Amino acid sequence: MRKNKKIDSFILAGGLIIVILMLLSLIGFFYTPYEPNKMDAASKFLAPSLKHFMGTDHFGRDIFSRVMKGLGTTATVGLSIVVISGTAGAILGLLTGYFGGIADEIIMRICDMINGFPSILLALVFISVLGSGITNVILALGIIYIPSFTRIVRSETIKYRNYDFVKSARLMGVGSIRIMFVHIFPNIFSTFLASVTVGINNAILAEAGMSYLGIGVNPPAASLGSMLSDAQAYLQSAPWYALGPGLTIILMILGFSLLSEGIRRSSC
Amino acid sequence: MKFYLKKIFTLIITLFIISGITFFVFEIIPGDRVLNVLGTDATPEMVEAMREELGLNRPVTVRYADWLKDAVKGDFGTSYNYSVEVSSLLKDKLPVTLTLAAMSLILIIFISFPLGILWASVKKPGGRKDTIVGILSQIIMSIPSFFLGIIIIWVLGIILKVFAPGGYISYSKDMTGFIKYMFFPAVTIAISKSAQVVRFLRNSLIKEKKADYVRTAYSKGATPKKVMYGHVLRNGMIPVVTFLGTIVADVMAGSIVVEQVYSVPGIGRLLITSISTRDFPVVQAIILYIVFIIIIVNFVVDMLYQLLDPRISQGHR
Repeated sequence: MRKNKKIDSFILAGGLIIVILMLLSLIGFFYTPYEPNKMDAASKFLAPSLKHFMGTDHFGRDIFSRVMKGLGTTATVGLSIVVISGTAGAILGLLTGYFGGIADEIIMRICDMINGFPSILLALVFISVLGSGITNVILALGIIYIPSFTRIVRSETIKYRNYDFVKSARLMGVGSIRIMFVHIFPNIFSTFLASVTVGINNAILAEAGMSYLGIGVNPPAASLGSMLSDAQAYLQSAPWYALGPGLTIILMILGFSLLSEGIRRSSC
Repeated sequence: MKFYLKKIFTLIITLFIISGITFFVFEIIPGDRVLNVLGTDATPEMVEAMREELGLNRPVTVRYADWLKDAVKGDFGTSYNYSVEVSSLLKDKLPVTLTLAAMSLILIIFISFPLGILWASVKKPGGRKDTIVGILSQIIMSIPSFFLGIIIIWVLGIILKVFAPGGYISYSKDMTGFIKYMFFPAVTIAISKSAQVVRFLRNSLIKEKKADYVRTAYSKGATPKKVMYGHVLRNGMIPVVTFLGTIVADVMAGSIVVEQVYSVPGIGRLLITSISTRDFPVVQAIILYIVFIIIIVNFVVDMLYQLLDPRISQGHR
C-alpha cells in the first residue's frame, strides 16, 4: 500500500494545525492567561493588543482565554461523539458486513433512513425531547453519526470477506470474531481513520451550530459556538469578538479535513 | 410504469412511518406535558381538567390516529405558548423558509455548475493549479454557515452598508424588499454548500473524462468543448442529480441556523424558540413539515434520476 516513505503534505499541514490547537486546549484545562469567566467592567471591549491577544468581550473577559477553554469543550464534545459513533459504527459495520442476512438488511434500512436527514435536524429532535446540555448533545450526535461509520466499515468488510487470507483463516478454524477484529479490521483501518476525521469535523460543526443556537453547552461555560452568538450582538462596536472564536473553528475544521484528505490520498 | 407505482407505494409507507416516529418520539418525553404548561404548583384537579381538555387520557394509539387524521388536514393542534392554532402560526412562516431554500438552491446551481466544469477542465489533475483550487475549496468548506453569515453581516451590512442587518421586510408588505433582504441569507447558505457541490461535480466529471467514449469522441475529431458539453457533462451529471437531493436536505437544515443569524422569521427560527420553550405541538409540526419536504424532494430526484438514466428502472447498476 505505502509506496513512498515521504509523509503526505496534507497530513503534515493538517496534523500541525490539529497538534497546535490540541496543545492550546490541553493547556487551557490547567492554565489560561486570564480567568476565563472573570468579569471586569474596566476592561470592556478592548481591541486585540499584546495584553489581550484576541481582545475582550462585553463583560471584560479575555477572549483568548475563553477561546482556549471553548476549544477544550469543543474538542471534548467532538471526540466523545466520534468515540461513541465510531466504536458502535465499526462493530455494527463489521458484524453486518461479515454475516449479512436479514439483520444486515434491517440495520442498513434504518441507517439509510437516518442518513437521509441532516444530522442537525435529528439532533434538534433529540434535544427537544431530552432537553439541552452538553451530555445530551454528545448522546444525540453520538447516536446520529453511527450509520455513517456503519456504512463505510460494512462496505469495506464485504470487500475483504471473500479475500483468500480471510478464507484460509476460516479454514484454519479461526473464530468469526477474531477474523473480524484481527484479520479484517486492520486492513480497513486507514479508510476508517479517514472517516473518523470527517466525523470529528461534522461533530464539531454540529456542536458549534447548536451552541450558537443556544441549545448546546449552557452558559457561562465557554463554547466557541455560544461565544459567536454573543459576539453577533456587538458586531458594530467589537468585531474582533466574533473573529477570535470564528477563525479558531475554521482552523480546527480545516486541520481535520486536510488530515482526512491526506489519509485518503496516501492510502490508495 | 411499474417502477413509478412501486416508488409511490414506498413514498406513502415512508411518510406513514415518519409520521408515526414523529408522534411517538414526543410521547416519551420525560415529565408530564401538562405540568410543563401549568407549572409545578398546579392542583391535581387543574391537572386532571387539563388532561381531559387536551384529550391526554385516551389510549396512545387512539390519539395517534386522531393526530394523523388532523395532521393530514394541516391541523396540528394548539400551541402551548401562543394559545393559537399551530397551523396559523406556521402559515406565514413556511413561505419565508421555502423562499430562502429555493433561492439558496438556485444560487448553488448557478455558482457551482460553471465552477465545477471549469475546475474539471483544468489540464492536469493533480497539478499546481488543481491543488490550489482544491485547498481553496477545502477552506471554504471549513467555514461554518453561521460564521460566514456573521462575516457577511459585518462586512456588507455594517462596514459597506449594502443592506440593513436585522431589517427583515415581510413579503406581504414589500416583495422586492423581501427578496433583497433574503438574498444575503441565501448567499450564506449557498456559498458553503457550493464548495461541496463544485468538488462533487468536478470529481464526477474527471471520472467520466477517463471513459472510453471520450477517447473515441476525440479520435473522431471532436473539440474539447464538444466532448465536455456533449458527452462528459451529460453522464457526469447523473450522480450530481442524486447529490442534489442531499443538498436540499442540507439547505433546509442550513436555513434553520441561518434564519437565526439574519433574524429571518421563518420556521427554523420558530423551531428553535419552540424547542427552548418546550412548545411541543409546534416542534412536532415543524419537524414533520421539514422531513416531508425532504422526503418529497428525494422522491422527485429519484424520478428525475430515472429519466436521466433509464438503466435504473430496468434493474441494471
